[in-house]
Amino acid sequence: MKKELLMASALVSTLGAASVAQAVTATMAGSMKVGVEFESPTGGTDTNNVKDQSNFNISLSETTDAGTTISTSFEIVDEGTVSADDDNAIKLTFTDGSALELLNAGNAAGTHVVSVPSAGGEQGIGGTSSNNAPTGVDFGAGSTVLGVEWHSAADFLADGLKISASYSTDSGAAATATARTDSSWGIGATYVTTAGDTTLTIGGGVAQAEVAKTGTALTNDSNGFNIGISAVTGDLTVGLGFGDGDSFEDEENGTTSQIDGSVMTAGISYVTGDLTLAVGVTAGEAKDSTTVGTAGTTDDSHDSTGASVTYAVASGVSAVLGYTTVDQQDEGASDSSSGGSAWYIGASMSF
Amino acid sequence: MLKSYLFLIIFMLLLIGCNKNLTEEEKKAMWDKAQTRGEIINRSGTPFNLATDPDLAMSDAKNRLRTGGGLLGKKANFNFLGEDDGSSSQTSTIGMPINAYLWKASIETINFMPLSSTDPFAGTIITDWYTTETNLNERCKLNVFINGQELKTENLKVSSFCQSLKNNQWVNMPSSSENNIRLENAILNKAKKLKLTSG
Repeated sequence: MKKELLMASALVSTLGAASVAQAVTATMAGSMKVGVEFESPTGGTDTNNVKDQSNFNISLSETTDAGTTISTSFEIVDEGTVSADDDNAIKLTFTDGSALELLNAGNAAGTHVVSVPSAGGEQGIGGTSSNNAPTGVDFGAGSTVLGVEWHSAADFLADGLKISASYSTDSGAAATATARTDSSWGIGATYVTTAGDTTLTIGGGVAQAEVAKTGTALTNDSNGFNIGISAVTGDLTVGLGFGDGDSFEDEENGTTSQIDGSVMTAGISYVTGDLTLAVGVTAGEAKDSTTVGTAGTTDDSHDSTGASVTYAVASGVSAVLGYTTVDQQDEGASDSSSGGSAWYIGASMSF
Repeated sequence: MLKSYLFLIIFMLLLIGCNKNLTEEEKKAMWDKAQTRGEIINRSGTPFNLATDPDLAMSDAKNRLRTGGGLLGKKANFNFLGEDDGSSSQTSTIGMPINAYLWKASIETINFMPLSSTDPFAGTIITDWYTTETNLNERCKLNVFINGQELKTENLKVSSFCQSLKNNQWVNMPSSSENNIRLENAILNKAKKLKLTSG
């Protein structure tokens, strides 16, 4: 009996394999954001800007007879004056829900960053500054092209738990005077649970990257951690995130800054009918130094508050009205060129 | 360094005593509200990649979730070379609440066995005991369960029951999950073949 089952299995597998040798499924999708921004820098002249971002994506995928989905995609991006194309990872999604991304993979610490509600829209103050206070909690370095990222299935080891791990290796290129990320690793985890009618999400990760550079080395290689918590109760979402770590920045004048910073984000959003109201705050501070190998001593800071109203016009289309106010300090002194307030009104479309 | 492991300690504490006795539906509902970037990207259907452009991916994902999908419907992506993604795994057999390809593939795959009962509306196929000439001291029967209209692994469940003859009495043998999976794969492969050849 068992032999016959195995024979039947083998026979059907053979027939199935022959019959599915067809072209992979190709799909296209994209998004476009367009709007007008009104900037009022504290120490500058008010300006109006049209902001538009167009992105087009081609995805290819196929599912094998064993149920594994193999997919990849690339993007054509047009963001104002910047045009680019991005090649994404080759992703294997297995029948148990786990997934493996090969080449151009991400960092696991970033995958598990809790999404804290924040103002929608493209408003911001575009002044130049050497302020290096962080605004995002993810200190994980992006993978080199030789990277892998593994994601567990949901409810891995315990109900409500999902974990990821990533690693990228040295490209082999010789180090130069300009600092660059070499090899890196990261781990991240998400835990989701319920408390009454509230769904709690706790997520975070740790990342570390080796920095390649000739001459004097950075005081610390790039590394950091992030943790956040979010609570969803009906139409109300509240979130809080924190990140701390070391990073580096290539300044426009050819020097490298090493940065030791931390950032806290908090926000709240409420959905009422087709309207989404959101308020978010970000507070980051850092000690940076352009003398590589010598830690900074004076604080940079970035404090911003934003609010927005987003209206869901139709499937894939939303309109947004956003506002933000920004206060920045560079080396302990107020930086009026990159502080101030800004408005934005525009639309987002996805297809 | 202590800071770097703070979140791990919090995770370990929360893992103890939470999320016990949840049904599969409750777990799914819980994950549907998870707020990490990876989970939001996964359930939004955005094609943009978190690794290469996190701001774009999150912005597009939130727009899709907020508005109920893309301009062309709830599912992201417009399929321009193959079948429409939303219909490719479903059949529209009127009055049949289960996937017709899975049903037909199941019947064809186990057609060497006598059937005890079938119910296309409940999605059940139960065979009678079957013995091969090469091993008269062993017999097996199968229960096949099909759920839902989509052609996917989760909608098919095969359970095999085998007995061996000892002292003129049939004695139950341990269930073989490996054989069940092999048979499920055989049916799924057959179903996929049927779908592809149906045009």
